[in-house]
Parts: sequence; C-alpha cells; structure tokens
Amino acid sequence: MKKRIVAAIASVLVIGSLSACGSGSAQGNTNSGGVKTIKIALESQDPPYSYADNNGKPAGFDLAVLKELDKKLPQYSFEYSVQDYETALVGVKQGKYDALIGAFFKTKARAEQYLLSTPYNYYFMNLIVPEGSPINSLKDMNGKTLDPIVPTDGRYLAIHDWLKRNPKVKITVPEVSNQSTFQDMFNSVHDGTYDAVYLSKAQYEGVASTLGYKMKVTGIVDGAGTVVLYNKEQKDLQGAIDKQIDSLISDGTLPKLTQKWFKQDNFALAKKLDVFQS
Amino acid sequence: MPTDLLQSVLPGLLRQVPTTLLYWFAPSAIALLLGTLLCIVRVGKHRALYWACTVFISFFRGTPGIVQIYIIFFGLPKLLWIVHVDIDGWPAGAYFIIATSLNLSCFVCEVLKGGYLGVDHGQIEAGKSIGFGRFQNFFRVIAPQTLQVSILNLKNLEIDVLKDTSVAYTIGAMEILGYANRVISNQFGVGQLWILGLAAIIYFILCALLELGFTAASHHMERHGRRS
Repeated sequence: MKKRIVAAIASVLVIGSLSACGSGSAQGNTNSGGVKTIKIALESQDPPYSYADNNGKPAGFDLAVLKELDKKLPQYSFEYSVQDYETALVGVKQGKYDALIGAFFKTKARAEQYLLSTPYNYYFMNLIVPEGSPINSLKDMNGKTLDPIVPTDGRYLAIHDWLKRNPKVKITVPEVSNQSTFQDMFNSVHDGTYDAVYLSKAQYEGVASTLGYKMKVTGIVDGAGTVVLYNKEQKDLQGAIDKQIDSLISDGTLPKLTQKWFKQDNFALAKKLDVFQS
Repeated sequence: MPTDLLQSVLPGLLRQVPTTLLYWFAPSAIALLLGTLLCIVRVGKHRALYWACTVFISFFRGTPGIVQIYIIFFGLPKLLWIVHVDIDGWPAGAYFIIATSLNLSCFVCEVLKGGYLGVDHGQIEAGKSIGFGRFQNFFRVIAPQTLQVSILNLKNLEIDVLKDTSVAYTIGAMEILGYANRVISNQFGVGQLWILGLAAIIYFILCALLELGFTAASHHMERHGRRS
C-alpha cells in the first residue's frame, strides 16, 4: 500500500532530520507539584484493546490498564492521545510521545527501536474454521493455508514464531499489503479459498452476528504477551511502570480487568499455556 | 444499503463536514496571501530572495504532501523548542493547516506567476500612463487580470486541496475520512464499502459545489471581456 511506503520514507526523513536536533524533546512539563506529564499515544484502530470511540475519545482495555497504572504512580500524570498506527510509532521513536500502547507484541525489531515493558496482558489466538471442519489446532493445519496476513501485523510475527518452534509443521501464510476486513477473511474461509483464519475469539465474536452463517472457533492455539513501547530515553518511566504492572498482576487488579473485558483470566491462561513472563 | 447504517453513520459523517471545510478554507486563504508574496518575489529582480523562494518552492513541489505533513507535525515543535516556544500541545489540525498552507502557497505562486506572465504588458504600461501609483496599479490592473488568467488552474488546485483534507487523519486530525475509518474499525470492518461510499459521495458533492463557485467567479471576471 502506497501510504505505508510513503509513511516509511517520511519516518526516515523526519527521524533523520530531527536526530540532528539532538533529543532535546524531553520537554518534561513538570508542574508545580513536581508531577511529570507523560504523553501516551494509543493506537486508534484496534478494538477492543485500543481505539477511538465515535467521539474521538480514547477507549478500550489498554486504556483501562493505563488508568490503573496512573493511579499507582503519583509522580506521573498520563496524558492520552489516539493516533494512527504509523504516526504513533514514528512519534514515540522520535519523542513526540513518551510511550505507546495498543496490543503490541514484543518483537526483535521493536526491542531495537524502543524500550519495552513486561507484558500487561496476553493475547490469545484461535483458528476460525468452517463448521464441521476437523481442524482443532495449528498442528492440524499441516500442508494447509491460512488467510493472508499483513507482515506488519502482530499476528504475522506470532505465527512465524510458532512455526520456528514447531519446524515439523508446514503451514502456508500468504502475505498481503493491505489487511481485508474481518468479514472478508471469514467469507474467504467459508467459501474454501483458505483453510482457516488465525485470529482471536473476541475478534470473531465482534462480527459473528453479521456473517449470516456460523463458523467454528477452535480452542486457544497460541498466546503472546502485549507490551508498552517507550521512547528510548524513558528508562525511568519503564522501570516505574514495570514495577507497577507486576504488582497489579499479583494483587489481582489486572486479572479482574481481563475477566471484565474478556470473560476470562488472561494471566492464569497464559500460565497454563506456558507463555507467561514477568 | 442497510438503512440502520445510513441512520447511524451519515449524521456523524455530516458533522465532520465543517472540519473538512475548515481544513480546506484556512490553507486556501493563507496560501492566496503567501502565494502572492512568493509570486512577487519570483517575478521580481531581487536575486537572493528569488533563489531562497525558488529552493523553498522546489522542496514543497517536489516532495509528497504526506511527508511534509509528517515533517511539520514532528519537526516544527522541536524547531520552535530551540527558541523556547512550546507548541507541542497544539491540536493535530493546526499542524495539518500549516503544512497544507505552505504546500499550497508554492503551487498557488506558480499558477499566479503563469497568470502574471500571461497578462499583456501593455496593460501595466497603460495603468502607469493614466497616473496609477504602484499599489493602485497592482490592485486595479495586475491582480484582477492575473486572477482572470489563473482562475481555472486555481480551481484545479482548490479541488485537490479539498480532496487532500482526507489525509489529515494520518496525524490524528479528524475529518470525514478519518471519522469513516474510525467507525469502520470500531465495527470490525462491517459495512466498510457502504461507509466509504457515503464518504465519497459527500466529497463529490463538496467538490461539485466548489466547481460551481469557481465557474460563477470566472464568468463574473469575464463580464467585461468578449464572449465567444
């Protein structure tokens, strides 16, 4: 997609031209009480995790997590803005925002460009297959084809990680430059073009009622933690938030929050699947 | 077309029309002024200024608009921070207007330059001969005739600007297309084509109105000319 390429060029230009200005952007607006304002970008198009509601206000599970963290951190006050995916990534990299949230997976490339938090939530993948399909797990997908995924999507990284861990299983993962809508993904599996959609149950349920036919959702096939991305300068913030994430998990606040949003304790599930990290 | 979609999405899209018009009008007004100033330099005799403006114009005409929006959005606050002016808190729309104004000024300048060079030089001499001063000559002879020659090209530019407001959402400035995208993603892509179609129709109507306005203006300008 042209926009992506242009955005990439823009990022390079912007970051190139601005690294010359030094990183003097840490405009730590410390007000009289010594409370530091932290600018946080939320990815705008990833419901139910992080999105702008129809009035443009930030919303979603990730925002709820941030609000809990803000309560625990009297030395910081969070300021939120919802931002387009690429703009948010560039903005955090060069310091317009201090941190970015929006169901981001941990990846090698991201670890090089940003500071990453410990996981504040876990994202579980299911396979959505036609009714009556014999497929129940990724191993059953051997020799079959998934619905195409954009390489910048976290799901793309997750499936390739899994394939690395399970070299005996061969699954074809076609790449596209532009993600089709969830409806179109399910339609193309329903009509047999592909064998399964690799997506979370919550996302299937978001559109299930509009499809006009039923699909089968397998049990959880994989899971990964989602992390906060910080600007490289924000070491202190990273340390402070990490500490609070751990304590909010152990005191049950975050598990309760996942119950409320996803009807399940994501942390207990992650431990069961052996993907839990702290 | 699902009627419930029409009822739920259309009012929201229409509520974005004023913002879209603002993102079109503000840069247009600024660019008419700035473009005129640039044009005066470009047809003038001051070498240093001429080259400075030429470089400026080449940059804005030779790089993609979205790159300029990014550079202004991320770069301008840093640049001004060096002189201790903090604009980091400005709304995204302000950055969009600044970037679009600069970009459009350069195009307006080139269109006006073409128009000016198309004005019969005898007209300017005639103005001087009946005792017009510099300013009088500019406002009564040069400007109206330049505009009359340029108006069709200006119309094309303005239609482009109106359509280009649709990239404002990439930096978080909400307008028609941004709103459409937001609703689409919040419904997990349900009704995507219908909603985009609605947005397209709204843009089409706005452009048609703009076209009519310009056509009326150009007829008005030609009222003293010969009708062919």
